[in-house]
Amino acid sequence: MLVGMDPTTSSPPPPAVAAADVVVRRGGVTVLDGVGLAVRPGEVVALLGPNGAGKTTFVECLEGYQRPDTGRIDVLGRNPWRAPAAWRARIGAVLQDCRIDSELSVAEIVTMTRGYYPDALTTQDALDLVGLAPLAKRRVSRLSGGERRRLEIALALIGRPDFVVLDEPTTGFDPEARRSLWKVLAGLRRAGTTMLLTTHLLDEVEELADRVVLLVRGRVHRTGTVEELRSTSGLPDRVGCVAPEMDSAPDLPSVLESWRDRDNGRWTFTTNEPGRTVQELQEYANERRIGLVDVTVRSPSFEDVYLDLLAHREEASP
Amino acid sequence: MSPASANRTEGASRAGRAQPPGALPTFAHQIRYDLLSQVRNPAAMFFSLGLPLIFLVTFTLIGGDWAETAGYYTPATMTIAIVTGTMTNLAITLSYLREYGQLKRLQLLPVPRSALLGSRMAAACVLALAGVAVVAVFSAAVYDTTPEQPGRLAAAILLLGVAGSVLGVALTAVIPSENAASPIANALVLPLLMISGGFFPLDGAPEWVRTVSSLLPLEPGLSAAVDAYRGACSWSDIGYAALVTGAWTAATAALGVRFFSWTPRHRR
Repeated sequence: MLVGMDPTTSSPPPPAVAAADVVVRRGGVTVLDGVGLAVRPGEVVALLGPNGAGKTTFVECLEGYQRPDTGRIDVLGRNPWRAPAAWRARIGAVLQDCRIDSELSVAEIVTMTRGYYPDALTTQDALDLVGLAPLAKRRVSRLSGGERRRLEIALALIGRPDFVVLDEPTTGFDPEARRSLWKVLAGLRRAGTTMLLTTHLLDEVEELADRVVLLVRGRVHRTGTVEELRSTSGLPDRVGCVAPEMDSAPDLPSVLESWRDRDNGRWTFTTNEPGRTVQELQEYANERRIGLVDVTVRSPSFEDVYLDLLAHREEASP
Repeated sequence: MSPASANRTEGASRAGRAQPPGALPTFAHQIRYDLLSQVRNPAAMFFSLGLPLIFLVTFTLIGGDWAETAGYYTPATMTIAIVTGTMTNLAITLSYLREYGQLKRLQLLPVPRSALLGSRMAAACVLALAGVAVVAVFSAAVYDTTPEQPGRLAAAILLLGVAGSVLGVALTAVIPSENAASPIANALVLPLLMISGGFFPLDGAPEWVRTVSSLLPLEPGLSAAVDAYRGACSWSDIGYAALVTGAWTAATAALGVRFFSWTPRHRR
């Protein structure tokens, strides 16, 4: 199955990534089972899935580390397996299982790496990009985990790649560093860089991804934008409040389910008509002279949607 | 982090960009950084420069007659320096780099991997040769011992350096993890040096031991180095060393090409 292609569009640009019916078997286990994916130039696609879904294997096929048993993969017009050096100059990757270590300084390792590329950023620009300029003279061996990850990102981007693979790029980042990286990646997107992102941080997906591909047991389970997945999930909205005098769940017509958190005493009501539920709740409280505090309404989070999709994978999987 | 810098990554159609550098420019670019890394690594400096000197002083002290003992142990210690500086050093550092995904990252670079690996081997060799030079200078200054045939000594040492580098790279194929690298490398290299006469002369060893030893990769080179110091090394001795060590090197290189891994054995 090839997802992401729109057959109604007239002469669309060739996809930056096109994978069709990719099958990978390792040690008698089918890791990827007919995966297809098309990524448009400049698009940011988040590849999600539980542990063992085949995300890293698929990413490694796109990078040319692994060769599919069957199926076809094109990245920037070439088969990544045994692609030439000029192709690799257009690829940037932050690998999940790489921990950079060296007795070189940060500036030295960046300068060393830029020497591999024909059209690289300057060392200063690369350091500015990830906020490591103040640490330029520090030895890599003395960087923290998050700083090393930022350095890996600088090294991945230094060749001004057309296609970037980010395999859990913000591992070890503090919240401030994560948001800074989001801004950098948003800048790259505006510049037309195609990106494939794998992460378990769903707020990162909401912030960065144009489209989500959910991989389950080596197959593409669902695909769409965050909003499409959210709107088609059928998950109800949630109304919450604190009402210390309310000892039992009120029987409100618009409420689907209700429960009280044992730890903080907060009530939660699931509903498809949140406005009506708030009104019914207010009337209920007024009639009984119960005080309502901190009434909130929220749509299902993307995490709710993601977990719901995984919970229903058995029935949806072919 | 600076989004403004991200915009600098913009380019016109980057598909038509210039070609990345080839093998020779990559090697020339890389070796400076590999040497810098080695020199700044305290462990590499100690094992390449400090330890051979400690061996030389200790062996000579135990041996009694300094001048005579130094005549044997100076070239023997040079052999230890060049072999541990290449074979042990490369087996350990490449296993570490492999298991931490750094070799894997090199595969995605647009330059020849062979140039990067060659640079790493050359840097280890240069540092080991510095260790050899330290031993030579120390021995000349303290024991008044200098080689009678410096050209043949240099040939024997270079031969061992090349062999040690290739054996070290190939050895990583049987090292499963970074923790196992040092024990496995030392468990192989130290007995090999011992049976080749690196730690004591083999004159009193049984004939079959000397026969077996002469067929191993290090002994012919080590014997040639010892004889070159005494002025008793012929070019045919160097030729024999080149034949035996070269055969081992070629066979090991073939195995290395087949079994060397750029990717970690274990996922983290």
